[in-house]
Amino acid sequence: MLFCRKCSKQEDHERSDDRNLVTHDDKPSRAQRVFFRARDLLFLVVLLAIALTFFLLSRKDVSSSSLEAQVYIDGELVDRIVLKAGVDQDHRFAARPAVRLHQYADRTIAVIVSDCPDKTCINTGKIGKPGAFAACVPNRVLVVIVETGTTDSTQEVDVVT
Amino acid sequence: MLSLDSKHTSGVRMSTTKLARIAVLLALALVLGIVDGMLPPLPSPVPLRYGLANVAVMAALILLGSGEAFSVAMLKSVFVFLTRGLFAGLVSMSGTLCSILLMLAIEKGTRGRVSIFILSVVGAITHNFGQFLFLIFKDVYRSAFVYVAPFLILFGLLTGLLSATLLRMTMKPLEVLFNRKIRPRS
Repeated sequence: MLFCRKCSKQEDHERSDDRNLVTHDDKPSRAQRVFFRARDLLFLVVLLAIALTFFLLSRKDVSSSSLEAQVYIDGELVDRIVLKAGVDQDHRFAARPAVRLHQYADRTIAVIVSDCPDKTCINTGKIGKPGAFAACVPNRVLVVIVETGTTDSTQEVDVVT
Repeated sequence: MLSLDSKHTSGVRMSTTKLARIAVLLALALVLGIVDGMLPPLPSPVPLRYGLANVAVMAALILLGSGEAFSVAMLKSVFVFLTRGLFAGLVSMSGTLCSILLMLAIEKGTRGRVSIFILSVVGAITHNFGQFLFLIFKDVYRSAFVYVAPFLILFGLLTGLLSATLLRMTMKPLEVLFNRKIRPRS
């Protein structure tokens, strides 16, 4: 008969090759999985570095470039709204009467009305950087900001001189 | 002593046990999915969820095995198909597939020695990226990868940490439940 040294129970224990008695320590339970190892920190740092790289790539200075908001409905481009400073107006689309956009004077645009259940598009808020987007997945509406070239006057002067 | 451990039992009983265990964890995954939907949305510009259901999938992976984990994950997506329609089902399926395949690969690659933290965070981030890549293919999102990627990673990290903590707290009771011996009537 085999008995565990620690708990003196017979079941669940198997005879190993070199010893007659086997304890619980020799067969750890699967629930005793390590939660965090020291070397996981390396993984954490690499991950944060990747995130930071993407974040910095997405933060380009756009004060001097011209931007437009492209509106896609059902995957098709239906409107290009040029984001000019000082323009403040609503935009509606015949294909989706339940969705309304609002263009703000600070060169941003936002979805302000939508009949979708989750309202993620509205919660996205004002967007104004190239690549930023507001999407209403249930309505298949996408607004994405695109950079359409620079209108920087100093650059033109540089070319002339 | 009759044990329901898969090693010691005959074919029929083993598959019944397996089925019951998968069913318990699938039920857990579905309930966690509902709870997930009731929580306030994450402050992210991309629609992201907490991914609590991954706790049940990881419990299946660690306590039961890769086949069971795959079943729980895929059946959960099938349930999304049935309840929320084709599009939501496909989005869920793409995230789940990426997530479970990578988690299985890591678990196999490290022979089960990977920490809960890494497993959970990798699962959460690949789930986010899987869904996002599907939405790019479906033309819902375009050319916004650089803008979205940091959010996917950062929120994947936070939600992954949350599910890892939940898993650590529930693992012991779950193991007791799964390893409970059934004594024959005598």
